[in-house]
Amino acid sequence: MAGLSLKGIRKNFGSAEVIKGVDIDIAPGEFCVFVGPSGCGKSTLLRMIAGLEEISAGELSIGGRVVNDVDPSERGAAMVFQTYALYPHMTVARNMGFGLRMNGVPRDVVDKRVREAARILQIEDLLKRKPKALSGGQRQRVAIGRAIVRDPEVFLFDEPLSNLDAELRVATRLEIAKLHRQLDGATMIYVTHDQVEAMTLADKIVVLRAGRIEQVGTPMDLYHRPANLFVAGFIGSPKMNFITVETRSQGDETVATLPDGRTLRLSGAQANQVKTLGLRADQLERAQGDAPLTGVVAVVERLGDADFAWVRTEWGQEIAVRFPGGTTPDPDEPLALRLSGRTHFFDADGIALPEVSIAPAKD
Amino acid sequence: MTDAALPARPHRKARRMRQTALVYLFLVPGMMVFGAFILWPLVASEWYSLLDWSGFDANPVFVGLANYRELLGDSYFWDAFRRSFIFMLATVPAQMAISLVLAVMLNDKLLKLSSLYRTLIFLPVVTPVAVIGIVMTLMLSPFNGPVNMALLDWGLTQRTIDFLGSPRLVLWTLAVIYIWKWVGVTMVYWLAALQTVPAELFEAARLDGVTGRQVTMYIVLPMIAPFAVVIALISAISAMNVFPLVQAMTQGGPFYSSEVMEVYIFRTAFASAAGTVPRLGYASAAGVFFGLSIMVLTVFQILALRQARRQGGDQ
Repeated sequence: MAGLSLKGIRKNFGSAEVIKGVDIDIAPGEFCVFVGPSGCGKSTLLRMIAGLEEISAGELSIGGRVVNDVDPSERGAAMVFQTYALYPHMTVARNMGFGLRMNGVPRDVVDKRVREAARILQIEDLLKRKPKALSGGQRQRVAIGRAIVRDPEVFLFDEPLSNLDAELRVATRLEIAKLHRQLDGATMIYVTHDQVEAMTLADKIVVLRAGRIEQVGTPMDLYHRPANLFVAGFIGSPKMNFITVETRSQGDETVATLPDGRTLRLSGAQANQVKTLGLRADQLERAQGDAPLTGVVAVVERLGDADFAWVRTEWGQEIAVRFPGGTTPDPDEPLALRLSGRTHFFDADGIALPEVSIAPAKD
Repeated sequence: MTDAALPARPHRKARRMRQTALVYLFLVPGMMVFGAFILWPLVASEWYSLLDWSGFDANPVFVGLANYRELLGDSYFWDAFRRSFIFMLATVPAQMAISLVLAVMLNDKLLKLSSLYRTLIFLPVVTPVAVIGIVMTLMLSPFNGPVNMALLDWGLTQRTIDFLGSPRLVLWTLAVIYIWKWVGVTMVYWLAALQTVPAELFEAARLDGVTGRQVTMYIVLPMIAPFAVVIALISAISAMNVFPLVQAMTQGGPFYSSEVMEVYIFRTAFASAAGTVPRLGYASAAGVFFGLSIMVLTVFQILALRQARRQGGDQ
């Protein structure tokens, strides 16, 4: 296994710059997920690491070796494609061993490695079948098997679960997480637009938008300490509630005014720069009497263990609130909410202000 | 609800009939053309083949299968029949192989100007046969034709070669011109087949370190093999329809040595330069016989196609 280092990586397609200078360090054995909305350049970045796209500028090293101009097959990277890219006329065994066979590896060695990979993925009974006779999930395993057989330094996954149905997606996600441990912590880079996949699989998440890195960190880092409005809105489900506030100084503290005129007292440096208040659905709870937020329940989504109520505030914004299953108010019920736990604050440019917090209540 | 549906029923039926009538109305022009130019001649030629008729005579004589009986003993007919199949066997494999190589080369994304080459290769296809006939006759002329001049200059031959005037060479010359003219069409068929190979397979192979030639041999060719049967079928049928080319260049000569079936039928059916009596009835019998032979061939090819599909089915 090997680490990767991307330094000032750029990619132009003609005059359009799609990757605008990206620096990432991936440690050996790390599971790194590139996540972002479609068109953010995450797949392009992965293909550049694989060698399927040229690198316009910057330096890419795998295992300490600069590989910008190294042939894709010499980079020690194996890729699992979204469409599986299996050879339809070959059996599963031949699909998995094809690359090795073509590179002159003796047949018995290839057979041994194919059987070993098939054992890891539990597809030994499928080896004689052709891809057409396999389900989507089985094809995905074969595609992963083809990567394992090559014993690569780095595994690259390009949205490998997006062609699977919801149930299988969850199951395969777990399989991939298991696989990562089973392969003695092989280095893996995984591209997805699904933040749940990113959160559940990653050691390190790289959030990309429009060819730039928005934030790099562990899943919990990104969840609890998003660097900006984009990451705050992208990571976590349902999306974080954003409420626009007006701040003014009042003596030695700052008062933030909500759209309905209610106020919150803020403390911490830069409190006077707060423009947006960010609240996750689980950071709001039902209150009795005087509360900073009031509204009427518009819609309730019941998931069993928990419910999400969409509460319409007095200024017409719908905010998501999480309730433990069975304690959820009914639609059209008026509701008072208070802030519990962490709140997030962002300035006018959408940059997080981690120092700011709600001022403790005065006696 | 049910009460409302009851009176609506005849109305709905009328509307469906109107729609059906509309469908037939739209079919009429196509059916008329098909009937007048395909169905009618097909049936008519079968009827004519039973007549002793010049095509002009007001009183054709019904002779039953006499024309067919005569055909069996007509060496010109059998020569032309054989020649048509030789022409097909000479052109189809070569045309398919050459066009496949061209298609694989042009399908390579790294090849620059591929659309220019594609156009150049397709140019003879859209050039009228008559023009090609005239130009090729001039090019291949043993009297100062550029091809002979070049061969002499390069010392490849001591004497000029009469490509179109030698009974030994003429059919092969025509075959080469035919392949050159139509290779572009077959290439387009192959290119269409190549489009069915997903781009990710090439990328997966690239990451696997598989060379370009190995990709062609072990991935591309096996994947497009099922298309070969269809392409062979189309090419074989077109290779039987070479009348315009032969008529434009040799009219079947010299000494009938390039007289393929269609030219034979034409010569027999209408008064030829040789001054023979036109025999539309006899020519129709030859046409029907030849048509049936091709049909048998086609059935075999379709059976082969089904077989290929079935094998491809477990892909």
